Amino acid sequence: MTGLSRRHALLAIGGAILAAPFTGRRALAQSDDLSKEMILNDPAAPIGGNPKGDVTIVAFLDYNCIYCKKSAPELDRALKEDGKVRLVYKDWPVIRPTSIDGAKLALGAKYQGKYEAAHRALMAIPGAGISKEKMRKALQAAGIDMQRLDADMQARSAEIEAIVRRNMAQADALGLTGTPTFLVGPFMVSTLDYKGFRQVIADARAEQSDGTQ
Amino acid sequence: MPVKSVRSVLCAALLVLLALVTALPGHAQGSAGGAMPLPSDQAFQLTATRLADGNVRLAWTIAPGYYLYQDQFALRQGQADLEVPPIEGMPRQKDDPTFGVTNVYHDRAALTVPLARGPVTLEVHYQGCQENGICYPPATRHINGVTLAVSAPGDHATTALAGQWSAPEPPKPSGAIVIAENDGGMVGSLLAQGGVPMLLGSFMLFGLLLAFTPCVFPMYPILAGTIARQGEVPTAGRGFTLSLAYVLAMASAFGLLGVAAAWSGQNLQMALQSPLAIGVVSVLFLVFALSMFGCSRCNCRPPGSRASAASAAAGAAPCPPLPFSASPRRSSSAPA
Repeated sequence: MTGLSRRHALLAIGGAILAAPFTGRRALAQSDDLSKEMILNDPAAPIGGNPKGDVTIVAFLDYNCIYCKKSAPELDRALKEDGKVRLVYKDWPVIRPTSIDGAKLALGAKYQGKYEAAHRALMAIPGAGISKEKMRKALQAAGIDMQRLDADMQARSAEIEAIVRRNMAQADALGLTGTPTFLVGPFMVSTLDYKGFRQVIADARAEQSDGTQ
Repeated sequence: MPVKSVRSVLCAALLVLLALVTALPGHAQGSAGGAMPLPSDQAFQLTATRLADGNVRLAWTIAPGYYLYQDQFALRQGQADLEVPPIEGMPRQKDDPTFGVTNVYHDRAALTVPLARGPVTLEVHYQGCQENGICYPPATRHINGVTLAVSAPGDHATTALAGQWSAPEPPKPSGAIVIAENDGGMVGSLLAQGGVPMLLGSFMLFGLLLAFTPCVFPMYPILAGTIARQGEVPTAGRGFTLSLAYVLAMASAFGLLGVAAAWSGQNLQMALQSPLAIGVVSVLFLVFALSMFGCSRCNCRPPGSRASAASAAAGAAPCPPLPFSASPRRSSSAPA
């Protein structure tokens, strides 16, 4: 599905790259991007929870998505109490035009080791259609070094754009309909409450142990 | 009322209670989320029809549980943004502390726009969400000026990767109580800490504490009456023997109830709180009370009889349970 915001986002983050002709090498790289391995273990993707956890949750999220914001604290609680779940963040900015700003700000904070702090601050802003200024204020309040963030976002812009583009391609390849979408072990779910997350984590764990026996 | 009739009424009441308890399904606790949300075109079905005055009416049929944002409709033709005409439908205000105030349409929404009959394309933008599910990216649909066909430009192709993940099966009613593994339950943690001696010791301690809860008070006069029966001199040994017999009978009665509860495979706490179960038990108590007033000739034996432990168990039944009860949970749903 091509939406207005996605078009804006794509134009904003990588017009020049998208306009470039696809060489054989690029096509190959893109096909690698769409592998299960890259969805679960993209080395550039921010990781939360327990990095050595036995169950992996891949979370496709947007900072203008109201249900992402609703489920974020529930997921946090479930992860904290379980203690053995690895969380892979996939910023998938598709809901509103400023979503791309949120994704880039959060990914930029990764370089000062504060992706999760930025993520939580952005998810804590209520509503959709959040302005970039409001996002920046929330990050500042959360203790993000804004000067360093701006510098990192400039110096690493190509890397950040590549992550977002890769996430978008993966979401399209998966046929995702919207945000939030969570891949929990072999399961795909959307908004859940704490109990729901605990249940699907338990189900995924049981399924994985069945598969290895 | 003859004794036989009273007995048959009581038997019938107990049978009804038992049938009720065993017929009620177990309730799953927690939910693992059901099927994935509908594709956008099924959640928000858009149709275009030409009206008699030449205008085109765009109508959305919105699936139950989904909604469209009032402020996210947009129209474009060529390079020009068109003014969005008033939306037909009943907007509802969503006022959520997390989301703020937004106006949304459930069930249906429509608008009427001028569109020339010819090779023109009207671009329609809209956006919606599944209630407590997902939010869709803004949708763009093209309306052909000649055929009024609705098409989606440049849909992304889903690859075989999508087959790697599936929606979990919706929760099924479980036929049995399953004790969750490592659920932090007291039994599990006591066993882990000190093994069986710790478990038995703790049960003993909590059992003693339970004896001082108000709902056990009705048993005191029964036991006192058992020990100090009329015309007999109570001794310590006799008191101990009688108490032991009483306690063992009580423990057996509760033990049998526990076995019956486990055997039924149901969450009896929930079943016994149903209006029907409460009604049946109320009738039972009423029948007992009437017999005490001599309204029926129920042959109630004096305290100290074999029946006293069972009736005391019934009297203590509404007490809060010990904190040892394993929490029932539904069985893990097997994926397709």
